[in-house]
Amino acid sequence: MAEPMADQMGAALGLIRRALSVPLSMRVTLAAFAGSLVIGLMLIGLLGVPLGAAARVAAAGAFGDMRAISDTLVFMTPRLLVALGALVAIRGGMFNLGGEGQLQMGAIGAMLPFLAFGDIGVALLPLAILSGAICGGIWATIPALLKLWRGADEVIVTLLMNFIAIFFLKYLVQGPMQPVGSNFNMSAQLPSAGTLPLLIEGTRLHLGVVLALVVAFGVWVMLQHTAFGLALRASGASPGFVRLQGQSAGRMIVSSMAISGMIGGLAGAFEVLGVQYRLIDGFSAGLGFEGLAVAFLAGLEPMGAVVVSLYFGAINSATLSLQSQLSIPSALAEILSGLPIILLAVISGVLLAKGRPVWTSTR
Amino acid sequence: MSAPIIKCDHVSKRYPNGFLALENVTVDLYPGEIHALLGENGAGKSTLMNILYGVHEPTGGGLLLNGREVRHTRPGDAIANGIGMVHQHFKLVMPFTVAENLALVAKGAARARLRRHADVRTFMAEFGIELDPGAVLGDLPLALQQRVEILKALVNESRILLLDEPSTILAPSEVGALYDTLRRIRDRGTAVAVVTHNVDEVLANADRYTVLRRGRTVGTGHIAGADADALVELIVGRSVATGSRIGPYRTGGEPRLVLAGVSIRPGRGSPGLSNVDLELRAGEVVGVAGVEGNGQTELFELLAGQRLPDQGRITLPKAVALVPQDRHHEGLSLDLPVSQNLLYSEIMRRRYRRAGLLDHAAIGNRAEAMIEAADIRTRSHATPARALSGGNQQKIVLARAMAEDAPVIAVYQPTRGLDVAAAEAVLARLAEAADRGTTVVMISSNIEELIRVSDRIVVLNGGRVTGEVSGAGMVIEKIGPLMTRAVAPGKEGVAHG
Repeated sequence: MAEPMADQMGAALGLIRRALSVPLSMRVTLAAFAGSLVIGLMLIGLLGVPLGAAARVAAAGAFGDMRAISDTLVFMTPRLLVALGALVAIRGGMFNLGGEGQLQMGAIGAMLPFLAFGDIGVALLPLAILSGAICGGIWATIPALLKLWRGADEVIVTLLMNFIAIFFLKYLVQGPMQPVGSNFNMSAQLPSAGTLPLLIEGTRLHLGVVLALVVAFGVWVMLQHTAFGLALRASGASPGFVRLQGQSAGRMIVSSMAISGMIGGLAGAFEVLGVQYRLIDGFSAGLGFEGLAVAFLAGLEPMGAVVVSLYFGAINSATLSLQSQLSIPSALAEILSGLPIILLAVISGVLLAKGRPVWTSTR
Repeated sequence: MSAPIIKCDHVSKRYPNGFLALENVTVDLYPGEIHALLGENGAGKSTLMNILYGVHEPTGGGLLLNGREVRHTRPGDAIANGIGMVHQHFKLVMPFTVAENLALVAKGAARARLRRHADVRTFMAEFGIELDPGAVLGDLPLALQQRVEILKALVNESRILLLDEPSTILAPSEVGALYDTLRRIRDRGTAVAVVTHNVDEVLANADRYTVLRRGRTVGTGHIAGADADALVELIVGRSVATGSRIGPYRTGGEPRLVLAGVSIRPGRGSPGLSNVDLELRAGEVVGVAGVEGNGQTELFELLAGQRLPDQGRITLPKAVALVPQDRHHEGLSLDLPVSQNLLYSEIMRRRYRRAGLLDHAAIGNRAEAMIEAADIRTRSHATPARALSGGNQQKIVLARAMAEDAPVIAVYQPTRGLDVAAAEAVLARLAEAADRGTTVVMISSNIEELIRVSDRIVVLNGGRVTGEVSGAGMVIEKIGPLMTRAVAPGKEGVAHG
């Protein structure tokens, strides 16, 4: 009797030990999410809303029915794409903070084929997607070339180019792209042939959601299963090694930024083609920066980015319900999106100060 | 000479990794002397300087300033006690002018004294230095930048001036002027300590010397009456415990890599290369000996095809396999698994693909075979290279270089930081490669291992080839002087056995 007990105890202990043996970085990330949810609940409690009810409404808002799930996924999509773009660049050694700008340029690019050719039927959608990706890619290639030619620091250049892109879009929808006679800061609406089809009637779930997941898978395959991805990771983590192997670090910088910008451009294009159906000033509201947070919370892993962006999507659709049903301010979404990255930084910082670095250069 | 101004009193320094850099070293510096600190790489010269200057703290013994015990826990303490240091790599603000660079470090009264350019001129004239205070540092030649670095160390009324290898970056003709300046400083009653490995320079310019070898003082005395041969012997030791020869003496075949009159401009604390002729032939091991920082890095970069000569011609074969000095940053990508480190170059040459993707199974299998053959101790081929010991990491780098089957393999300090067994394994692999017809060029500051494995040894000193020895002529007595003595151009020594 005692022996099987001991065996079971041993097995259980082993399981617990195995569970705890997940990498430190993963544990820290989970702690950051758990901590921010606890703080979020405390904030709701301070508003005088019963926690049980709030949790029920939030869960239903995020995953309760098909509509809720599709909202979550639609919210997830741009954040996932920007995160994928950011992590490709960062793993390649370029600290791309320009996700927001690349997304804006992608959105502009998605409008161009319609404005240039008009309603040309089925060809319009693929052209719009392609154009969005290319515009984002070109926008991100500029800082790479500036770094290569003039040694310009990409952190500053990408960051500041965000504002150029934001104001360029603002200019377009108040000027050249504003329909004659309109006073709204938005372009004309796309014809239905030029938009991403809805997958389920009565929801907002559009094809871009699936495409984003395909991109995530593609990025994972590229990083882990192609020679290009291997060279990209090696050049980001050990530029001296790659140089001695006779590879050009410059080429790697440019191609990783181009790919990164194309994926970021897709984020903007899908927002236009799948959600807004037109170019609107201020449509993004910081999606590019949220995507960057997703990338870091995901430990710069593409599959991790899917999980983390799903969390961000769920938070956003849950707060919609909390606002409409319990009058909880939607600013909660921003708090719950911001908290994990703050907690992650704090926990990592404390551990680093204690001599336990959570992150190594890259994997 | 009265009393020493500063005394390193039975100083020992053990680094946290257990390495004993200095053992019971006592050195006196007197006011009004130029004191040469001589020794090879790793002899402890720099460590001693850093202890005086407060960069490191001794683990045994201490410092006596005018007979009073002082502790230098950071450079600020040393500066406050009147010590100035001239680093090998200048700590200057290149876009700033001479006057601005001096004003940056001047404290209190000294700053007030240097307010106007005329004041700076007067200050410089005290040391016989004429420079435009408004000249931008970056526009000055290295020798003059060094003068500013010296002035910087003197701004705060230093009574002790430390110089780390000041002559390596200078052309032979500029060394005299440097010591003219140092003599003026000495004559003002300052104690000047110069780290160098050049015996002739010391004999011509210093007043006293101390020789360090492997962290101990092996000799000290007045230059008057000292003799070059005796000093060289003190520096390199009489009989290095030479291990047995690895492999036969080979004679090279057809030339595979030729340097003709190759020069590289000096810079960043290095003498560059001047007029180097070198022919590397098939199936031989050519050793490149010399004290570190005498042009070895430039030579390796040339062989690696990473830079072109400023003058002269280099003829490289189709491929040169490389084992770089910096294992962690150039030899390996530490976070990649052992397998991908081993096969990186082959993967990039479009091998190990299946349907365009990496064939991880094939990579793993091939890596297993290489791990077995090269006796790399690792848990698995998927372990990140970071997790392996230094010796096993070096085996990865070497195995990859060997697998390239290049006509020439260039290795730079291949055994640094390895234990005896690992170092032996590395040397044996290199000898085997030469036996198979590969050209092996091995740049190392470890003379003993060069003698054991090379067929001939060329010596780099001050960026020039000061001589070549081969066969039985490869003995420390011949190599030592080539490394440590100034050799007039055109009078390179050649010894053959």
